[in-house]
Amino acid sequence: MKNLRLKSARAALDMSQQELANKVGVSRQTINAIEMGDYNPTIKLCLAICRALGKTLDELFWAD
Amino acid sequence: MIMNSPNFVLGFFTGLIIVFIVALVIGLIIKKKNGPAKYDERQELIRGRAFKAAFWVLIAYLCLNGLLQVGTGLEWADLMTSSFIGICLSLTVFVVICIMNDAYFAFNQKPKFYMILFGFLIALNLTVGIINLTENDVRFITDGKLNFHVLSFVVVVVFLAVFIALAVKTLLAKKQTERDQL
Repeated sequence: MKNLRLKSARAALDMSQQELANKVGVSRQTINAIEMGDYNPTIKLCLAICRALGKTLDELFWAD
Repeated sequence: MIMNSPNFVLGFFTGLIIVFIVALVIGLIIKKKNGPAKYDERQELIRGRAFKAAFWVLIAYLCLNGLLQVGTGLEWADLMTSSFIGICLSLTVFVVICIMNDAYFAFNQKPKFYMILFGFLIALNLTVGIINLTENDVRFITDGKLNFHVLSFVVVVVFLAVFIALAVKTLLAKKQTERDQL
């Protein structure tokens, strides 16, 4: 399942996948895989992404 | 036989040591320039799967090769050549899986340098193979078995497969980057 909330949160900050990847210390392809729903990140990476985007875990990763 | 002569053994191990030293020096230079390779959690996962696939491919190859020799008595290559081909096969599986899943290069490494290096290795081994074939009148088959002279071409096939996988992945990644960037 695609993570559109992550994509829109990143876009709202005018941040590219590469910029977010650099900020959290992963490859751009990993951010892409998370957004496309191809990779399920660990809680450690989820937290790093939340901190980078100023969002909570619920806002970005909790399935409705 | 030429493979059992002391000169061959000395030459073979000298060659191996030179290749090892050159690879070590290149590795150290890259490490000093870029820092140690950093793989993220997704890449580590993919690399683990690729190692597993390469391991099973090697096991399958060894079993098939063993069964073929024991079952039919057919020895299609000498021991060194068949072992080297098995290693090359499993290495290729590992590298291609990693490349196709963006897990071969750490995120602080640049693929361009490796594409140039692989291109150089293809050209070098192809040249050595062709010179052996044309000028040194080397034969790839002795007593009905493939011999070690074919290894230059095996290395060419391996690096060509890796080079093609890299080129395809780079093109796909470029297109995807254009699509996904905001």
